[in-house]
Parts: sequence; C-alpha cells; structure tokens
Amino acid sequence: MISAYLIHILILICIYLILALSLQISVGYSGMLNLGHIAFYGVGAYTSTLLALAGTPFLLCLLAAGLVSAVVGFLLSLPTDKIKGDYLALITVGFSYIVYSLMLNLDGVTRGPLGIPGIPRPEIFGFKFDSNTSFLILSVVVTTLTYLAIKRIVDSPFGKLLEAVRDDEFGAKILGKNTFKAKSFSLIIASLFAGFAGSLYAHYITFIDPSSFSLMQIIPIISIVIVGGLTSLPGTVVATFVLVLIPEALRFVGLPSSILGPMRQIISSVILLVILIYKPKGFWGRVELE
Amino acid sequence: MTDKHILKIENLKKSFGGVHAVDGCSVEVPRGKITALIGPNGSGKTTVFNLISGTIKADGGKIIFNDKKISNLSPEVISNLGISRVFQQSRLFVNLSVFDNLLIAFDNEDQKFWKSVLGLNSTVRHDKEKVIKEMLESVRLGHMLDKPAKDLSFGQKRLAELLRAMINPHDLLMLDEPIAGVTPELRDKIRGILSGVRGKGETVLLIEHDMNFTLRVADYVVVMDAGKVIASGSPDEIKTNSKVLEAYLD
Repeated sequence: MISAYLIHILILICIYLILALSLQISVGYSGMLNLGHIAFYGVGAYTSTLLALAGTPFLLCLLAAGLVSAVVGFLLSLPTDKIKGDYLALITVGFSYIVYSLMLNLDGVTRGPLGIPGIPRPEIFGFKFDSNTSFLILSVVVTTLTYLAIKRIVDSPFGKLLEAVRDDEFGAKILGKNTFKAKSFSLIIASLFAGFAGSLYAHYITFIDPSSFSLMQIIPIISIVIVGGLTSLPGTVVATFVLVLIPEALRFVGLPSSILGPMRQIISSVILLVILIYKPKGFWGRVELE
Repeated sequence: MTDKHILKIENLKKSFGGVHAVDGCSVEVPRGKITALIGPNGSGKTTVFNLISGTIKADGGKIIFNDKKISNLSPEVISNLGISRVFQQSRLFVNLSVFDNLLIAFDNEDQKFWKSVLGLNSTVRHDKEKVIKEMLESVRLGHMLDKPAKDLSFGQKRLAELLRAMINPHDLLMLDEPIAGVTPELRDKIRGILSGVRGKGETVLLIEHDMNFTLRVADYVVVMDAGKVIASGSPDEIKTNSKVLEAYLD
C-alpha cells in the first residue's frame, strides 16, 4: 500500500535527518571529518534495545542511548584532539570498525550476527506507538526537537567558537580558547543525537543486527551533509529528502532486489562525486570541505 | 609594587637544526610604552615573538610576564595571562563574519556551553555588540560588519585583526609587522590607532620593518641581529648607534 510505504520512507527520512544534522556539528561546524558517526548510531541502538528488553521505559531508553553514545563520543575525542583532516577520517573509520567488530563478536550482549529481535515499540505515558503512523508522529517530534536544539547550539557563541576552531584552530588558541574542550563538546553533542537516532531506529524496525551499523552506512549520511552544504541546516533537510527519495525511485524501475541495494549506494556516491567536483560547497553551504 | 617592566626575557635561546635563530637574547619591555623590536631579516624577531606567545618552545632561557614565568606554556594559557598578538599572516576566521571574529575575542564566555546555548549572557552580549560596532565604525569598517572575513581586502583584514587583538583582554599587545603591505592611508590609520593605544597607557611590543613608522611611534627600541640584542634605547639613540647602522648596512 502506497501510504504505508510513504510513512515508512518518512520515518527513515526522520532517522537519517537526525544523523545528518548531528554529523553537521562535527563535520560542518567543527571541521572534523568524522566517518565514525554510524558507530554512535549503533551504540545508541544497542543501548536502547538492551535496556528496553530489560523492561526500561522508552523515554529512559532514548535518553540512555544518547548519553551512552555521548560518553563514547567523549572517549573518541581524547586520542583525536591533535589529529586533523584525512588522518582524523582514517582514525574514525578505524573506530567505526572497532565498534562494528564489538557488535559482531560480543555474542553474550549483542547476539552477534544473529541480531536482537523483539524490540518493543515505544510506549510513552501509557500510549503505545504501535502503528507506523503514530511512530511517524513520534519521529517527527524527535527530529524537530533535534533540529531546534542543534540550531540553537550552532547559532550560539559556542557554535561560533566551533566554527572558529574549524577555520583556524591555532588562531583560536592564540585568542585563549581551549580548543580541545570545544572539539570534545562537538563530538559529544554529535554522538548524543546519533544515539537518539539509533534508539528510534531500533524501536521502529524492532530488530537490530551489526549490518545496520557497518561503515558503509556512513556514505548516505555524509553525502547528505555535503550535498546539502556544510553548515547549512535547511540544506541538510532538503538533501535528506532528495537523497533518500531518489534511490527509492529505483524500486519502481523493476530492478531485481540483488541489484537494488548496491545501486542505491552507487547513486549516493555518484551524487556525492558530482557535487564535490562541480559544487564543493554543496547547495547551501558556506564552507568548502578541505 | 608593580614592576616597571611588564615583560623580561633572559638569555633566550632557540635553534632550528644548526641555525641559532635566537641566541642568548635578553630584552626588557617597559610597562605603558610602545617598544619596537627591529633588526634585519633573519635577525630572530619573529622567533622571539613566537617564543613569547608560546607558538614554539624555547631551548633555554626565561620569559617573565607580569612577574610570572611563561616560558614554554601553551598559547592559550599565555593568551589568558594577558598577551594578545597580531601575526604577519592573517589569522582571521575566514568563514565567520567580521563581527563574530571580533566578538569571539572578547572573553571566554563562549566556552561555557550551557550559558552560551541558553543565552544567559545576552545582556553582556548587547554591551559587546555596541563596543564592536563603535570600533568598526571608527576605522570605517562598519559596513563590513556582517560580511565573512574572507571578503575583506588585505588592508581591511589587517585592521580587523588589529581590532580583534585590541579587544582580546590583554596587558601586552604584540604586533608583528602591522603595516606590512598596506597603503599609506591605512598606515596613517594604524599609526593613529597605536597613538590611541599609547594614550590609554597600554603596553605594545611591535615588530616593523618600516623605520620611519617605527621610530615615530615607538618610545623604546630594541635592535636584534643574528639572534642577539645589539642595541636598545630611545629612537633618537638608536638612529645614531653605530652597531645598528652596521647591522643594517651589512
């Protein structure tokens, strides 16, 4: 049914949007090419799942998912303080692999490749978000709050400090700024919201396994951030719709399912390449990716 | 009682490979005056600046600022102790507006995450905005307030950086070639700004190659050659110093 399909797509757009908006903080505003963002998403999903299966109410699961991811984000900020650019990208790729390997091999906690089924749908103050329509409303609320919170952060003096660190970290130090603290906070905030996205995903799909959090999943998210434009939150919103909907259109072409998945990643990558070559600031960005 | 010298450099040493960029340099910077550090190219002036501001680590010697040893502290700690600096090359945050470039230098309130995000310092911000607008208007940069710093011309960047260093809380203002490459009109404007700074009793340490400019604005001049101080005194004393003339003629 088309409407059920559309609702499903809109929920996915919400989850992608939270991931992309939060990645904007570290990549766009702080200039840290963080390719390990999916790891925080995974940490959030597993945290929320394990707590929910232990009987914890959804709101606490959501909160804990964000907080645990934020702690992991802080831990990642410790060894990466003095690392920039391509090197930081490589380290965050390594970090993503480590988290992925843990999900795959900590059988006692994550059930490894078998994944965890039976994740309950959210229930808040007695209202159970059983239907996809109600889940979409919940997703829109969480996404809107995420957008407003991130907008508030990036428009604040702290957000300007992040941009200063991105433009010239040494210049910021010369003005007396503690750039480690700023970058660390940036990763903490980005991972906090990625954790929320992970929690939403787990409670929507009701099943998680490590394949949902592999490194390859970063491609559509980083594509959204770059296509929308670094430091552009409205651009991120538009790019999320475009980059989620364009590959979905392939469904109607009648391609076999074995080709459909790879084709989506190819399309995301081609769009990313074209944008990087012809419009390096993305559509609405102020800053070029270095 | 406050020491009459805000900054004391004792037997400072820094080598790069086999090159002794700073070789036992000792300088005293008097409080409330404009001190110029001059010397031929490669004499070690900028290296001394870098050592004072913590950009590079010294191999030996001491730097005392406001009676506190600051040698080899990190740049942000030194900045927060009260040393503000303008570099030879522009270090403006190119994607931030001119206004934000100046606002960020005011204090470290932006580092207080919750206060910053919740807007709990908005009253103070209003006062800061007023000061920044007045400063920019005074150098005819008011119309560039909301423009990204990358859109400024070379001269406008020098001015904006000078204003930013002045806004950054400090007891000592260090300027590395503030008029290099600027137009004569802008040079006069910067001289006017420095006169204003002197009028307020601030301390400035200046590197400048333009001798006419330097000898007109400085109260005290220190001359370096080959990493050492070869002379110091008033501009009139320096003009006639035979060692100085020899160093510049070599």
